[in-house]
Amino acid sequence: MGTPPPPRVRSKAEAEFLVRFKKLDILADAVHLIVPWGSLVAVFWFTYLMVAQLAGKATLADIGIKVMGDIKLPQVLAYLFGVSGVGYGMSERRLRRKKVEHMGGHIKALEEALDPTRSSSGLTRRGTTRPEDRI
Amino acid sequence: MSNIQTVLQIAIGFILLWVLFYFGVRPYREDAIRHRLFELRDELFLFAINGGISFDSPAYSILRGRINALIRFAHTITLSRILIFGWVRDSINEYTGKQQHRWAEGLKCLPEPSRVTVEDISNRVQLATFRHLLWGNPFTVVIYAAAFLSGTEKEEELKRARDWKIALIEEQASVAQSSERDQELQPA
Repeated sequence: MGTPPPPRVRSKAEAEFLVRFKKLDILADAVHLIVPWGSLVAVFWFTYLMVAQLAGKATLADIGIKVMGDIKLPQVLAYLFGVSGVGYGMSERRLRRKKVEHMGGHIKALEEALDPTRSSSGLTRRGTTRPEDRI
Repeated sequence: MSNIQTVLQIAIGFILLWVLFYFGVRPYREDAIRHRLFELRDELFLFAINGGISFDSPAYSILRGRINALIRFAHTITLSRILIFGWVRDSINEYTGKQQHRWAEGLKCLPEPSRVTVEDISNRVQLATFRHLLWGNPFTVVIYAAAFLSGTEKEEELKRARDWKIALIEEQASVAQSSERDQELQPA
């Protein structure tokens, strides 16, 4: 059993920098999350306001039933087309990730034979972001 | 009633577009930039195999490490991030300047033909990151499309990438990767 490497001692300036870096990182992550979820909330909020304004005394349940009843066949086909396209894209992605998982091991072994100190990107075997790195 | 129907259908359309963008387009863009960076890393590796540069050379390990860090943190390459980090870049530059110095020293040690190739790969890493960043935002897409249509030269694009401090993103990824590695070295 080898001796574990000694812990690295950081200078005060380096430690301060890393704390500052982490704070900015958290701020950037927050913005990264606020933009998509905020836009979704905005869509729901504006829709609610407009429907409430237009609806008058009709209940939302009434509106829902009438809207669903008014959907025509061409619209159903358009939605089906869109959803099928997304489904197809996701299946292709799944297949590609399986292929990456299958081929990645061979490439790694071959490269390590030539460069024993080979460094890795640190992604998962399927080539996706590691769960602990996800925002 | 038809007005409400229109509003609801538009809302459904927006929600579906939202799903498509955040669960389809965004992950695709991450995979696409990673693929491009893997290509460049492979090019560097093949260059080393063909004797262009040693695997032990500092320039090789710095560039490979930088590409690896970008691949790993590709999902964090966003315009908002570069704006936030660019806002306080002076203090970060103070620290990352050392990394840039190491890189420059590593390049100096290489013979001229190797230096040119390694520098070219490094420039293309910056360009790939810059293009990924621009294509991810509707405002910058317009700017980029206009520049593309007006036939911007690669050198000009690279200059813009430097103006935008794309190296800062590379450094962020490297810092995140190295600080985690240091934590792993700490005793439990």
